[in-house]
Amino acid sequence: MRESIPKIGVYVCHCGTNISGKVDVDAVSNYASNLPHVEIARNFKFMCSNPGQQLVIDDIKEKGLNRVVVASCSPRMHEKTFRKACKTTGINPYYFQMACIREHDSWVTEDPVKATQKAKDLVRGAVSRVTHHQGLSSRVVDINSNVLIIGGGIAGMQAALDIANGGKKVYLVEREPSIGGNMSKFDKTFPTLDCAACISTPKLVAVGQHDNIEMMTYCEVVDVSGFVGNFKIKIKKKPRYVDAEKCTGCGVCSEKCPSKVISEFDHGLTNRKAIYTPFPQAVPNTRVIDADNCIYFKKNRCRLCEKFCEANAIVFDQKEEIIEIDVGSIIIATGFETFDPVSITQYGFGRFPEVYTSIQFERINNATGPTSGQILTKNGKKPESVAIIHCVGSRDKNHMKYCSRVCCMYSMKFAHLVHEKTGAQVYEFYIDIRSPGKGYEEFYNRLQEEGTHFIRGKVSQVTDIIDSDDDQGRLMVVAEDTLAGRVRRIPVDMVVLSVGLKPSSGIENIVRMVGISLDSDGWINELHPKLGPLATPSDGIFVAGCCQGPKDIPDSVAQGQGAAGEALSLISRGKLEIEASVSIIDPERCMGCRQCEEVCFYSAISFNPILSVCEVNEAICKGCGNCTATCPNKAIELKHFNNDEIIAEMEGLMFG
Amino acid sequence: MRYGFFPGCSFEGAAGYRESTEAVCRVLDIELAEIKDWNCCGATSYWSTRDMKAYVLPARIMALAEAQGFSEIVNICNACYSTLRKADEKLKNDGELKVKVNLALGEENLKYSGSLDIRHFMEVIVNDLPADRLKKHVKIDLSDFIVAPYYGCQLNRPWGDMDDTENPVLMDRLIKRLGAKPLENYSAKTECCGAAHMVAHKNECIILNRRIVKDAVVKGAEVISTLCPLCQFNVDSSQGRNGLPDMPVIFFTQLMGLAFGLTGKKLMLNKLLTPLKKAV
Repeated sequence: MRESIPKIGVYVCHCGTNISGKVDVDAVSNYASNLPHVEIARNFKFMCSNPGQQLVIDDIKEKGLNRVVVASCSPRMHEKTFRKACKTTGINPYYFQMACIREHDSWVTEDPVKATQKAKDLVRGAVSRVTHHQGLSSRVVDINSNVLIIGGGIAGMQAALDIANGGKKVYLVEREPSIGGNMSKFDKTFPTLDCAACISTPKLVAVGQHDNIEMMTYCEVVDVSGFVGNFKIKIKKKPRYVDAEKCTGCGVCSEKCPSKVISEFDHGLTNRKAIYTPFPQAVPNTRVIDADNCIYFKKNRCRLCEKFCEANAIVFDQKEEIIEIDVGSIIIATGFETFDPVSITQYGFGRFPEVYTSIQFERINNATGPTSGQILTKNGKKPESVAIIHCVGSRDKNHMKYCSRVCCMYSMKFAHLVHEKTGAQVYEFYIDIRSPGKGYEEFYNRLQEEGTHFIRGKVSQVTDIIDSDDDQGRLMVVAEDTLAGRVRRIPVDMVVLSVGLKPSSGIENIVRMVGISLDSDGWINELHPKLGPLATPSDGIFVAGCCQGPKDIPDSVAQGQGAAGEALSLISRGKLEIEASVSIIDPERCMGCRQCEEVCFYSAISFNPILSVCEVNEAICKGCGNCTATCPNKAIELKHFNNDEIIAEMEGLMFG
Repeated sequence: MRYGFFPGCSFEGAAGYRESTEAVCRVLDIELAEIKDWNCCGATSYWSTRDMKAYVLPARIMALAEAQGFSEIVNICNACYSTLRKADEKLKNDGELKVKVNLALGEENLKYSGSLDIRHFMEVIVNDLPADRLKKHVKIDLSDFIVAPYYGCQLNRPWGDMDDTENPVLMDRLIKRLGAKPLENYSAKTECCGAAHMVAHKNECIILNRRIVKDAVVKGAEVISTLCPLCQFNVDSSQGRNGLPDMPVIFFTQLMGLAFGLTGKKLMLNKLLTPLKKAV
């Protein structure tokens, strides 16, 4: 519905002194009052405030305005505010246009005369544009109350518990055979030295037993379609070859299995069997057969597990299944993996047997690990000295330029464990000590008091070139001790590389499926780094834990709870209003070339083979305009950004 | 096969480097054509002064090579190789400096244009010669001769484009092709010998060289093979009072000569300070 004669009200905001300090707001409003179709032009100190908005509302009512232009800050700040104000008076909110004279003018222009002229130009452009605005209506969609959580680590589990306790159903999808994530690998956690298994196992059990949580382990998400409130998910359930209903977790099958495989959970330090669970407290405790290494699957022999299983739970002909579910929102909690230091050849990982990564060292310390929790070299002896090298792969422009946040703390935790278990000398080679959390600085003090040798300097190499024959068989750590001003060559029995954190493998597939993006380091891009850490630009897709950036357990849990809050908030709204600025394809003009479909980032366009034209799913469309610009036949109009509106704005800006 | 050759100042005086290189070239039918009127490259010491003349020296060598119609310069010294490459890189990236340098070179009607490849003779042998062409000339069985391949620090750093910076393998490959055994786990492959610091800071450098020798001794090598006159000199001359058994240090060309059946006399093995006692 278009009014035949536009009656425009123009409001120039001072924004305190943010705008008026540089722009002559009186001059701008005076200028505006003389523009075509402008009924009234004012300037005011704070347009976004209640009195400011009241000005607009009163003028609409008293002067019969049917178009409003506010010249103030960026539309990202207050477009919604003013649209709402228009709506309360009964005029369509899309009859409103903002001219940004703060971020685009007063904040970036030195000369006040130029700034004022630019403000006039911008207002003129907005006034010209707004006469062509159409009244649009937003769509409202229902929200399905189910939630999908991808990733069963501590963040994912916490989110699942909170949502489930809130009475809503959760599908928790985890690609490993058990939930628990990286935390299940650790021994003690900093700074309290709580046993990781002791604090996380109750969570694993609670998740496994909760009525509202459908735990889908050894599963992967393979397809996501739909839009916020209405996602359709396809999940691949990989075959365990074991009947989950029958398996009692007794473990006899694993004992009898002759096939040994390098253990992923122990990061290469031990072997597991072809039929296994990753760790003793696995949830679910159902065994799984690794078909790539199972003698039956490779050579059609053996079947010892089947023979010895008293519950008859082995099912060799189990098939992969695709399960389809409907959810309203998705939380991504895929966690992290550690940096592989084999590429830093100077540190000798993979070349010298006594060089370990931190995650391997966690496994050594863990009671279910290769040495039952004792710290021993591969010859079964306790080390007399251990070097812990910080920042391996992190803060390094050759690898990961960021700080991985947790390594200083876990390195110091290792020092403590080494002292406690072996009494060995510990040398910590660091660049800076980062210990910002609660109790973290005190932990650092404790480690200093325990007699840890902190050496500030980057290690240049770990080598087996010894100077003295007494050091035969040991490793030499060569580093610059910057505080003492000397190069140190320290002989040690064991080296732990404190490797940095990187995003879990496969995260690119997940983000592609849900239509979000990764930052330059591979972590998921959140909506706003300060104010929107758990949401993403895609409505209904949230993140929690390390997949958003490296962090420790308290922060992962906090984010898990926060994401649950986001999801529950969405669900309690019940309905969601979707932005009306979407593309619309004219079927008369569309020739079915499908170029628009190719360029749509959000997969919002599909080809209708019956009509031989393309169609836009307005619920998914984000109004980016890529299709509009691409269409060779000009068959696509982007509502609220159509040709008339854009050209009018351009003409308004250029011709004064 | 003909290459532009830059011998550098140490080629003549080194312990049999020139003799063995010439002998090996005769066997393999390679011509290393010396660049006429070459000058000292300045090596690490002069280059580090960042003086204008320090850039002109290597540029002149390259300009001469260009003028004499060569497309590559083959080096036999790590410092010469490194300095020429550094100069090439610097002049390619700094237009102003290049103009100034060419102004100086212009006095002799020379011009540096950066069209040359800078190479090391060891890499030429490994990459340009097909393996069987080399093996064809191997007459002596060296199958139980354990050779520690010592590359020195400047050959592969900082570029790392010819070979890995921390664990290079080209000379290992050459040793294998000659039928000998490269010391597989030699950790001192790219440790620094101290270079010219051996003169002013002898004691510190002896410690460095001791490591290069000790690692070879501990891991069972019988000889160290090297590809730089200064490395050979430092590692060779620093022995004697370091409490370690003697470890002869030969040039890779001498190793090649031994494999080809040339006599120790021809290869000037008698110039080695730490004698090679193995009967080959």
